[in-house]
Amino acid sequence: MTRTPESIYQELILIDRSFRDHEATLLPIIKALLAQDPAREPDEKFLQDLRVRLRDHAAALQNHSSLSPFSVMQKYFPYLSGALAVLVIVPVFAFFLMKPGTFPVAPGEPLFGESITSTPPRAFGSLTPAEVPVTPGAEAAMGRSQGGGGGLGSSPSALSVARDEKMIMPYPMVQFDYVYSGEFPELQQSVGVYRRNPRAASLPLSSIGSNLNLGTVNLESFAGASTESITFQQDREFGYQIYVNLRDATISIDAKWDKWPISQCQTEECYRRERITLADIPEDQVLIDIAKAFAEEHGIALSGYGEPEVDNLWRRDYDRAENKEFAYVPETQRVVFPLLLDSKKVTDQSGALYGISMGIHVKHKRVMNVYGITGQSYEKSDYEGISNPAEIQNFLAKLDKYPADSFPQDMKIEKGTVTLGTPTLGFAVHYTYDGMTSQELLVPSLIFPVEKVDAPAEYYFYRQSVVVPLAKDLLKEQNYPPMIPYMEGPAVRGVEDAPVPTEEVKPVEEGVESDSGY
Amino acid sequence: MERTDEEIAIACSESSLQEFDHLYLRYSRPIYAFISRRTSDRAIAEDLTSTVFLKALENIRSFTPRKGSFRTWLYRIARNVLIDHYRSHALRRTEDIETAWDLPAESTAEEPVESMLRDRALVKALRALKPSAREVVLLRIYEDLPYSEIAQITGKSEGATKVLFSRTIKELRNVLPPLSFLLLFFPHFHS
Repeated sequence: MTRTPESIYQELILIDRSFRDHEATLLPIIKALLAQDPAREPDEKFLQDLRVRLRDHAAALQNHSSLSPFSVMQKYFPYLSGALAVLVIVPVFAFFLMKPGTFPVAPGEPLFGESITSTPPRAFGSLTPAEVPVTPGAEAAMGRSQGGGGGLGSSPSALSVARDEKMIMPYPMVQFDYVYSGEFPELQQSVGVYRRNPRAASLPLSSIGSNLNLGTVNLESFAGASTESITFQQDREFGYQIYVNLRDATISIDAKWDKWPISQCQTEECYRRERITLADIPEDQVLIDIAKAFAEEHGIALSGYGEPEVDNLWRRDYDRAENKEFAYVPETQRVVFPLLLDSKKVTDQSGALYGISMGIHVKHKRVMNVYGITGQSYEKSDYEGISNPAEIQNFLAKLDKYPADSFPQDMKIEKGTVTLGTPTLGFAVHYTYDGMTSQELLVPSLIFPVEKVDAPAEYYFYRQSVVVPLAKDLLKEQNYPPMIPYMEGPAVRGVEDAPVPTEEVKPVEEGVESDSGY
Repeated sequence: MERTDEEIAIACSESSLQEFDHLYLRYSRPIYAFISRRTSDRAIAEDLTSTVFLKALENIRSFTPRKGSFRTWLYRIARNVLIDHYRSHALRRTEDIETAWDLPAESTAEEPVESMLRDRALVKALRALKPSAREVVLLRIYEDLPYSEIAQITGKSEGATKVLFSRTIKELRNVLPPLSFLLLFFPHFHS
């Protein structure tokens, strides 16, 4: 496509003929918009490095799939397809586990173990994530400190972002006071932090089969080679692909897309006709029953997980949408089995449940994907805890607070109050990364539910809970509120909210219909 | 004859993932630009661009041309990566996913005062727009995407996307009298 002020102006006329009368004012605006492009030129070395990285990754992925037992078998036994595939998966897996001397797990034991190993205090180093390297010239636009628990350093660099008069803030700015006046649970001087410890298992190539001379290459010649991941594919209607990552001890299951019926829509009308509406969404219990049945059918171990819950966060946006016709209703509903550690729920840093997540296709009433099946082996190490409630109150007092000079002088900052309910003790997932390796840490935390929000009418408050880490390392001061994208409040200027005058809409390219099939 | 994106994507699935290199060469710059317009930091833009292409590579086998073009599919990944980034960094960042107008346009040749006045008027007007309206403007003006693809990326209908774009431009025209006024004094800006 060519993009000139004139071409954009012409297409506007095709949409709305009244634009013809405003060429003199519109063209300069379009020109100014084009001239204001905030995009930066990429660094050539970055582009080249990424290209090399992608090539390496492609090679690794290619190897994974070509070494998958099922693909090897398909190559030599092409009749092993269709319904037979599902029969093959389990025996092959059992074969791995039972072949003596090829796998460190005893026959019949789970592939990914469950254990907790004690380690010395502060064995995982500082819990505060390392600073992200800053490229020259970018420093001025970046908050340097990335303290866990949501802290953002108060570096001048960070301030310069918000102060920049060209920065566009997406919402009315509101300073919230977080208020909690209830009791605190008993706080400890020391807290046990857990690090997930994937048993880095690998399978010798010999466990895949006895003849690995593929003709074009003899895999047996690679002495000591092993398999780090396995992909299984179910070649039948509503089939799945299962990816087992032995190195990270994770398993994910995905719909095999070419085996699932998909919309054949080629027109806007068809798309509208087929789109999911609120009436199509089953009751939560129906979704939970589907998820549980899938887990039972496929032997997904749920012993370390709590009762499943349906993620209904999307309903908040739906309820707020003024034009329900265009409001988003996801065609996949998510059921989460929350991970339990020490009988307490694990959440992410926003308070959302963390665990095995199953996406259920609303139309097909089937589980479409499963993420978060992981090994349950942990190392535990003690860290200094927050034992004084005043420290937590201090954290809450500073939460989401802007320094007074953070914004353009003419920007109006409004006030709001968030009342928090009684907190529960749980764990929150944090990640640290030292440039070479990453750690998945589960940190004891207080999870405060948001009970009441007093905010200006046009402001959308997005938090459902506030998570306060109880390890001292992570209780950094909080200076800035987040700006969550695409969760919009009512329009400051109601461009979108007015009814769509369909009679005005003319295809820009004559005869070209939307091919939206999503 | 040059292969289409979709043909290359299919070759990735059926032949070799190394074919992905061709798609990278076509889209590395546009995707970096897309992300850099929505983040205020070069390091983050590079990190997110890497994530987009790694995700695309890992999932290329799930790409189905019948559901839309490769470009739309890739921009949806990029959009989701940005959303994930802002959600996961929600407690750390002050950036605005819609735009990060924190760096001056490099190619403007106007006098500083003229440029500054124009920038302020525009940015102020853009600031006042609803994010979804601003997004459509960005995708059409800067990403140069057709309405059918913008519709797929944003989850709106094509008709609604067109109308939203035209209304937003109209809105900008209505709220930018200072710009018109400015043009009287800097007529060469017209050309």
